[in-house]
Amino acid sequence: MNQPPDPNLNSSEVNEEPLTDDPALVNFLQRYQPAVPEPSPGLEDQILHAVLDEVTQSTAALPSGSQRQTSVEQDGWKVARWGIPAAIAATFILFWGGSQIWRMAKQPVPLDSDLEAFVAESWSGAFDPFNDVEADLLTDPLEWWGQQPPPAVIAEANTDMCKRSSPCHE
Amino acid sequence: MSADQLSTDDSDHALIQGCLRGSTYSFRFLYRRHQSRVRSILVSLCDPEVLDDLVQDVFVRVWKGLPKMEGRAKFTTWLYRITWNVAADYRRSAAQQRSRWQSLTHQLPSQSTEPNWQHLYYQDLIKKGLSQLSFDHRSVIVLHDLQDVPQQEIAEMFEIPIGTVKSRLYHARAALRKFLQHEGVSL
Repeated sequence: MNQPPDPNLNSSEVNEEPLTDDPALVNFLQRYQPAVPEPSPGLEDQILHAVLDEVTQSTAALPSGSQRQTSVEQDGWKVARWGIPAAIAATFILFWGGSQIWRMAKQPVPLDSDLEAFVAESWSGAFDPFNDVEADLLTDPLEWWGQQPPPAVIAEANTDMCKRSSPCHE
Repeated sequence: MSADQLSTDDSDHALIQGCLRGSTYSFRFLYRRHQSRVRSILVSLCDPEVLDDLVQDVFVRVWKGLPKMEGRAKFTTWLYRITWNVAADYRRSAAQQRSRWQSLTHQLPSQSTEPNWQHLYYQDLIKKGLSQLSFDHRSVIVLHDLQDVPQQEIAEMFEIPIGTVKSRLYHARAALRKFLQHEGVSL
């Protein structure tokens, strides 16, 4: 028997007629090949009808009236399902936002002159501790000790204050 | 275009153009021209009981596919490819139910023009032999040895090298010859 042909050969490398021709087997196969039953009498018309059905189905692309109505009903149900909660939420947000704006608008606005006086007082207090009431309180020995301190402590404190503020009146 | 204007001399190309214009007359001629070949291929690959259904499936697919058919492909190559696809689809679905094909191989042909017992016996042997081949090998031997489809066309049909066609043919014939010898047929 012949060697099997190389499966990877392409058309330019192989002759059209098979190298492994087997006329005896081929003749036998052709002579006794399975009988082909005759087609049923109406097969041709049946196929043509199937083809015509394909044609009519492809041309009838638009939806029918009932299909359109069903689609509208489905759309209406979707609107009812999602639209009502969304509308309620939007109303609530609008009401709450409006009330917040109203409250902010009602708050009293300080006058410009009052603001200026406040800023000036805070500013001078921050940089002039000896004119500041709070600073004086902190440097008052009575505030520190809660009772009359010993004379030596008062004298020492006065000395320190004289050093920090000139001229000293001691 | 009417049926009178068409003749058997019209080329496949002319008939296809008629089909693309929506002419069912052209399609009828195309069917009449090629249906026997399609039937012959299908009966060698599938169950004869469902032959008419499969033929109808083939030609409906042809009608649907004509607008997309590549112009450079030969019509018969494309048609046989569809035929093979229909046969393969049928075999897949039949394999799920199973043993249908095996029971088929034991059936004797019901319609034979020659009531010769030896003829029927050999036909049955060939059916059995074909059924033992793989579907690829069987397809090649049916198309080439039974239907005389050129190897080049088979290669284009399955998009495989012609060497693969030759190889499948070689192995299919060897297996078939071995089967026939085992059954007592000397060639």
